[in-house]
Amino acid sequence: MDITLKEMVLDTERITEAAEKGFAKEDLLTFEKINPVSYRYYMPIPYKDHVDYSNKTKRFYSNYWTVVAYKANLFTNCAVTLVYMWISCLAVFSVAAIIISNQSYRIYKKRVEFERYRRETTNALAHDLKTPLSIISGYAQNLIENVHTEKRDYYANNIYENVNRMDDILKSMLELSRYEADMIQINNKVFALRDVCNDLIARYRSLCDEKNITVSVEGDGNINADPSLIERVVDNFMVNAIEHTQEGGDIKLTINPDSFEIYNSQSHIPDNMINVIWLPYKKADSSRSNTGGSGLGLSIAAKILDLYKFTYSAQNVDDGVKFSFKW
Amino acid sequence: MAYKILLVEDDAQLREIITDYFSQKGKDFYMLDTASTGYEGEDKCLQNEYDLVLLDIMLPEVNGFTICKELRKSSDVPIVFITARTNEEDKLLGYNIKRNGTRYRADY
Repeated sequence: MDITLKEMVLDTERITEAAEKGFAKEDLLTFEKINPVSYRYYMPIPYKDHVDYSNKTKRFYSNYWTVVAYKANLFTNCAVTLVYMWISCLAVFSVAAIIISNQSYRIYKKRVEFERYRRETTNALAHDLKTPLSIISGYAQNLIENVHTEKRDYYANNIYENVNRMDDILKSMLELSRYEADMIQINNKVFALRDVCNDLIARYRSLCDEKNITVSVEGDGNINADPSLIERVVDNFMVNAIEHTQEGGDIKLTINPDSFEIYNSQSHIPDNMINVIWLPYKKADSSRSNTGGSGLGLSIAAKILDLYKFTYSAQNVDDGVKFSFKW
Repeated sequence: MAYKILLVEDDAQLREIITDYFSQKGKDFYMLDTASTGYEGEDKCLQNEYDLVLLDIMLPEVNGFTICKELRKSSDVPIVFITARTNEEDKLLGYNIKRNGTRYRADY
C-alpha cells in the first residue's frame, strides 16, 4: 500500500527503530521502490547539537532528529537526461548503421564491378589467345592435309609468328598483373626524356621505314622517375602510334619541361572509346585483330603513370591522335 | 556444279588458311569468295547469290551480328558464324538473329 511522504516522516515507530540502532550508516539512507520508475528516499538525520556517543554500544544516538523524505520519479526527474540519452543512442546507432550500410554497399558494388571486369578480361583474353591459336591450328591443319605443299615454310613461319604473338600477350598479361598487385621495384632518378625517345626511335627505325612513317622528336625535359618504367610507357605509346599510322604517315614526339606528347597522323579514336582505351583489352577497333597488339599496351602505360600519379590523356586532333602525360 | 561460298573475315591469315584449303581440297565442289569487312561482305551478298556465308563476328566498322540481321531482311542464305566468342549471350544473340550455325575458332 502506498503511503504519503508525510505519513512516512511521521512514522515514529520506524524512526525510533532507526534511532535505537544508533543511526548506523546503513540506516541513514534508505529507499523504497514504489514502481519500476518511482522511488522514495528516506533519510533520518540526527538533530544538530543533540548527538551523543555511547561508549557502550559504540554508536551515536540522539533524541532529536530531522527526517527528510523525497519521492523521485525517473520519468519526471530524469526525463531530459533520458531523452538526451535515447536521442544520443539513436543518433549513434543511425550513424553507425549508415556507415556500415554505406560500406557494405561499396564493397558489394566493388565486388560486382570486379566480377564484371574479371569476366570481360577473361573473355577478351580468351578471344585474343584464341585468334592466334586458331591461326596456328589452321596452318597446322593445312600442313597435315598437304595443302599447297610449296607453302610449307611460309606456313611454319606463320605458326612461329603466332606462337610469339601468344607469348607476347601472356607476358603483357603477367606484367599488367604485377603492376596491378604493386609487385615492382622502383628506382627513381632524374634523367632526360629525350634520350629515352632517341633510343626508342632507333629501335623502331626499320619498322617505321617499312611503313614509310616519318618520326620526329623535339624539345627536352628532365623527369624524376624510374627510367625503365617511363621507357615502357613511351615504348607502348610508340608501338600504339606505329600500329595505328597508315603508310606515309607521321609520328611526332614532343617533350616539354613538365609533359610529354606523342602524335600520330591518320588515326581517330571513336568518341565512345576515348575513355575506355586505357582499360585492359580495349581497342578503339572493335575487331581487335587488325593490329596484332596484345590490347594491354595502353593499360600497362596507364598503370605505370597511375603509380607516379602523373596525369595522362588521349585526344583526337586534326587528322590524328595525341597521347600525353604530365609530371 | 560448285557451291558458292562467301567468307567474311578481317584477319588476313585466317582468310588465307581457309582460302588455301578450299582452293586445293575443295576446288571441284566449292568456289570461295572473300571479304575483309562487314560492309564489303554485305555488298557482295546483295550483288551475288551464295549457297553459304561464313561470317566472322568481330569485324571492323560493323560486327557480324549486324550484317547477319541486315542480310536476313532480304535473303535466306545459310549463314554460319566463325568466331572465338563462345559466351552464352553471344550464342543466344546468334539464335535470335536466325543464323544457321556457329563454328568456334581453334575448334577446326
